[in-house]
Amino acid sequence: MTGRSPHLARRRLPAAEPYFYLAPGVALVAIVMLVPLAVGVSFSFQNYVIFRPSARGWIGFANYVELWSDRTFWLALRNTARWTFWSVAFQLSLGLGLALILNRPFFGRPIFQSLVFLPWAVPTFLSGLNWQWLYNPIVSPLPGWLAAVGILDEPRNILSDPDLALYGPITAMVWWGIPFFAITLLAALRSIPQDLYEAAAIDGASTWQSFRHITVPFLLPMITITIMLRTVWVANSPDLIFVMTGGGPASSSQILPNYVFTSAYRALDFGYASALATVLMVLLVIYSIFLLFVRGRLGQ
Amino acid sequence: MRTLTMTATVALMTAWAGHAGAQTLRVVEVLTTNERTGLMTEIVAEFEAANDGVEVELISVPWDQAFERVLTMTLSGQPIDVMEMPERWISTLAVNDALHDLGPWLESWDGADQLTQATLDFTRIYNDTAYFVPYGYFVRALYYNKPLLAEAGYDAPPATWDEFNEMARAVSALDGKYGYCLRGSTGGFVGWWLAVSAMTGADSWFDEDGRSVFATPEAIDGIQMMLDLYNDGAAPQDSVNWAFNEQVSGFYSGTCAFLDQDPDALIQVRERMGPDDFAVAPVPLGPHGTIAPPIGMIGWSVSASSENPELAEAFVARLLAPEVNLEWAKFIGIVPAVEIPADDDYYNNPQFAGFFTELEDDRWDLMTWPAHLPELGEFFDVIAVETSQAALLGQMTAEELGQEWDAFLTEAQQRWMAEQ
Repeated sequence: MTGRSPHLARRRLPAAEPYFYLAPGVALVAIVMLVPLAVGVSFSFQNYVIFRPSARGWIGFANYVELWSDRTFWLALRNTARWTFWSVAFQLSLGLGLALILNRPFFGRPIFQSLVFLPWAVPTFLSGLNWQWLYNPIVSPLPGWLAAVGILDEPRNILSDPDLALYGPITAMVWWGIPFFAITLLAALRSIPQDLYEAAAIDGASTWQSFRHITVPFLLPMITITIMLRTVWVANSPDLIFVMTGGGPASSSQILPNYVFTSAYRALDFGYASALATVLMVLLVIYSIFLLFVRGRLGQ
Repeated sequence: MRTLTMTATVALMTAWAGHAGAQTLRVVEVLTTNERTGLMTEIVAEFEAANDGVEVELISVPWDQAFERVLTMTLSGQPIDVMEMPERWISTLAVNDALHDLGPWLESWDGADQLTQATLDFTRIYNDTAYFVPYGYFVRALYYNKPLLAEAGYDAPPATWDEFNEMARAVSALDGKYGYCLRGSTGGFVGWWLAVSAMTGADSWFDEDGRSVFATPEAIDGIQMMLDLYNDGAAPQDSVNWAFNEQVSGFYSGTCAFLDQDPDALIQVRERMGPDDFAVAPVPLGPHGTIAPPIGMIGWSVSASSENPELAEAFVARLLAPEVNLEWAKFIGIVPAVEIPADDDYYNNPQFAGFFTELEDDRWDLMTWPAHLPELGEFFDVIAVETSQAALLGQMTAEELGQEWDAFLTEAQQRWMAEQ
């Protein structure tokens, strides 16, 4: 047995070979992603205020302790949850509806299909500006209509109402994001074998039954992965809120990414901004792990 | 073959020499307008022709993200030579050693005589060091809508805040019209300061001990006056969210009759309102017979990272030449840094007299923002906006608002004093 070591070395080498080929890729990922991430997270343990270069240094968890008692942080966290939940919920239900409609052949479907995907092509900044004007009662009929159907007591701008302001960017986000759900779910719908429906029809299944027992199970993996992607994406996107309300009035529509931006570039406190960003990242990672776990369960 | 190699080498060397001889002057501009770009292109072409081998690279940064971009550029050590610089940014950049001291150059430069004395004084606004040379000034005055005031029964602009309050409410009684174009969002603090300054008579935010004026009973009265205007419907309900564009469009669309703005709003207002429909008055005086409207400024700085500061200074000198500066200032709508010639039609137009009354009459005691405080940007853009909106929406009283401002500013000022 002892005389076998050269063979072992020879066998170990091929085992290492794939890693050797992977190394450049891994190194690239490490350089462009992991290093900046580590540097960013390390800021959150430092006193890093741009206009106090002399006070710069390691301060342990002080930024996180400050965050714990920061009223705006908790408000922004609640708003982030509200913003993400309503945006994704409406995008999912409306996007699914749209995908189901587009999955049946009807006259003019190709034209209709390209039209409904149009919002996705509009830059978010532009759609934010458009929606901002749409909510302005001086130039737009929308507030008048909202009042006419009884949603508002009078035609006023909901963006300047602290209780309603967040719903302005949410509608813009829903309008903008429906196509993404529609495209991915439509692709998933088309991959369901038609003979399953035919077999179900022969067995006498109703439309609801074939939706419930064929469409939904086939779509679920795609739905969970799309929800996960969109949640992370929506929770991380400050642009619509930045354009439409600036987080106001009086912080009522502030979400965490906006708060990170204000802390970094208005208060010039990069340490605190990094702590906020790290918390957001950790929460989203936990959420993603949870969703992947659920998806694994569904797959069984 | 050998000849070929030789030729190639010579060609390469020539190319290298040409490259080394060519210098790039990187200029960052932050307040670009279409009209101004035309003038800038002319200046650049002329400068390149006069300085052999110099190439000027213009980097335009949109105003909304200008501070973030300039900060990132300078702190990451990107090579920049000349930067357009509002006085507010100086403290943050100077403390990070990002700005070149223009003092020695200013003393030797002949053109310095043509700048106004105020301009020369303002160069040393931070730490008594010439970190920039202002090219123009923003003075806050009161634009008013003449037909709306006439409809409400007035033929002259308000001279005092009592008159202002009365007129604003009278205009608001007209159907769908409002008195004051209040600015509740970013940049809105100027309006609050005017009210506080009128009521207190203060021409500075701080006393000698570094305590701010904002928690005094008179300041609270000023704050309450603004809240009353809003709550009585003398300003549009929507205005709690107004920033520059909404405020100015509210004025030129005839929605509200009074607009406190700098001369740069003239460009938009003149495009959309007839010459007889509006005029600019000095801001109303307070019960003490005085007020301290803010004067803001913007100018040129040379970056500490510049490899050729002399060349950068020469470019700044060209930008500040009287004939360039006068035209430049008109394009942005500001008060120029050089003396205004008596035959200048633009600046001597009586419609804009309000700006110059404030500059010349002592009752308008122009005040510069405390630009030495690095926290000033955060105060203007975050704290003042969030808290004043909360007060307008009834979530805070005038007293709480004044105390919150006082707490933040007094701490900042006393910390600064301790560091001196």
